[in-house]
Amino acid sequence: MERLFNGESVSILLFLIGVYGLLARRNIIKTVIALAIMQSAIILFFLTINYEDGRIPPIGDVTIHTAVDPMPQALMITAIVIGVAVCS
Amino acid sequence: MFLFWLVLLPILSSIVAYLNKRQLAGYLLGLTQLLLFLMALYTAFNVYTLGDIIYSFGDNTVSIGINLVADKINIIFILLSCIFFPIMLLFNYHKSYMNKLFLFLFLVLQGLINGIFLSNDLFNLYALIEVSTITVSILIMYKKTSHSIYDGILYLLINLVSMAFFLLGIGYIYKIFGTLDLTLIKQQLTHVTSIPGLILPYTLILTPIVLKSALLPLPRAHGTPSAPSIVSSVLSGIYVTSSLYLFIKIQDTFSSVINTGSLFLIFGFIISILGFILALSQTDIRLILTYSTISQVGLIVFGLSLASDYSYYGSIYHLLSHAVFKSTLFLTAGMIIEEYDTRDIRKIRGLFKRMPFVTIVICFALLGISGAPLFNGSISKYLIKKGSDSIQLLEYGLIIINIATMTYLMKYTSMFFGNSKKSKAPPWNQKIALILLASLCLLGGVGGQFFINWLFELNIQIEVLHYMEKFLVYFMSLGLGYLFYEYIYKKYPFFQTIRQLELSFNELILTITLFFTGLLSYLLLVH
Repeated sequence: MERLFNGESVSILLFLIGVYGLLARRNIIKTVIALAIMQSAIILFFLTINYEDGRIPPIGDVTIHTAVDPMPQALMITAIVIGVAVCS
Repeated sequence: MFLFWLVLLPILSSIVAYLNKRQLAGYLLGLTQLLLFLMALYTAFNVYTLGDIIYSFGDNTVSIGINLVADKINIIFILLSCIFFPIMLLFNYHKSYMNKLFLFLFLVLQGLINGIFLSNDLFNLYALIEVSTITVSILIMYKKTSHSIYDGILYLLINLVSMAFFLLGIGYIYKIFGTLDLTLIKQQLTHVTSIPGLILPYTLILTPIVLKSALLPLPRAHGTPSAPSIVSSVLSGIYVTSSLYLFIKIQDTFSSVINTGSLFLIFGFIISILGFILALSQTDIRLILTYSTISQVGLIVFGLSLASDYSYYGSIYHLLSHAVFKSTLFLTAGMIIEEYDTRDIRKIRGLFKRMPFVTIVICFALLGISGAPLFNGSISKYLIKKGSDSIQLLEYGLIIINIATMTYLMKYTSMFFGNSKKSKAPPWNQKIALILLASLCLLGGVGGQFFINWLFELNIQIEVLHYMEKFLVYFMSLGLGYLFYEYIYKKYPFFQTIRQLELSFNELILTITLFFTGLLSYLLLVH
């Protein structure tokens, strides 16, 4: 059960909820909310891919423990900026 | 080589122009456009003599940094954009809405489109496409009428949704390959053992590109009727070209494991016919042209999927020619709408007497689009046909598409005839811009053989006898198109029902989702 509820599956569920919101609601505010849900789903997806337990954030001294991959985080900060510009 | 200047220069020049007086800004923009063209020419010369140019940002190794790549195909598109944008600016020089903000957005769009052509990194592409979507929707809304604001918002929302699909696809790609560089992905594809795992990211990435390259018949997404005419012409000309170039690139990357050739062959044909039916049933001249773009894009995808070198390069040549003649048609349509104050083709009569110069330019573009001998469309259509020689059925398909093109062009020419008094001649800048575009149509046809040899290193010999045959086929399809228009289109009320068809936002999203699920289930069934 625990293996089923990882970041990936939750984010896909959220993404599909967003798509449903876009399909079924005609209100433009709800459309924007659905878009925001989709974006959050994508951010969650990026941050949890290639994640393993026991990894530390890639800041400061990372020689003792292994750090997580910093690339998706760098990508997501850009996506968040674009998302804020678009949704607000 | 500083490839990034091709992206950065228009954006920088637009900022400087925004901060200066209009007179000075005009000179400055002229100068930078000239510089940009020379730079593109120099890059093209280097690519053709020394080979591909790769520029990696931040002095990283190729595998880590973001890369810009100029190869033999995308440099032609860059050259096209560097010719195209100055012509558009010249055409619109005297317009009242052409203020600093419009210029700023327009030039930023030029930089972004150059970036889309050059970029080899998926996330970089995402950011460029997203920003260009915002720019384009502001440009669509620029006249601030209620219709154009509705169109602009609809365009923005649909494209944002489709780009969310793209971003999710990028996530999967990164998870599988650990890189976002298209060249590296192509190299690593050979090591992938589970092909079904690749299908979801491939479909997620392809769906927005198919939407943007006018392959889904959603008219508002490319060339909305209420936008300023140069914006429509950029959208239908160069912007669709950039998306189709991405389509070619993505297909090229994944072609070794996921084979969608036959699917897109049928899809292209269906879209081409659907675009023709929709174009024929419209009465708004802008919408006729927009749907005609869909029909032509269908033909291009048909040619790309034929699995023959001739038709592949023929399609790329058709992409170039299409940008030229479709932008000419959109610009002239804008002039006609201004003159007659209506977009309804039934109310526009006597164009030849009222605006003789514009009519001649339209004729050049129409001859190009219909593939008349000596014009640019003929060379590309000849090459696509040469690729389909091996299978009889495909050749019939092509002939049907060509007759379909003739039919809606018949409808378009119906506004030439009739009586009307002569209006005053267009201003000098519009005349020069249109003459340049019309001569590009002719040049692409007369020098087509030379260009094909030079650009794609493909030897084609067109003999005199062949030209005679082409003339014959052209006139026969013209006759058939006329018969279809006179005796079938005018008799059946079927076309009028289609005219009233308009999709709401939810239905548009449904179309995208249906395309996505359809492609996904087809690929999962095949593999």
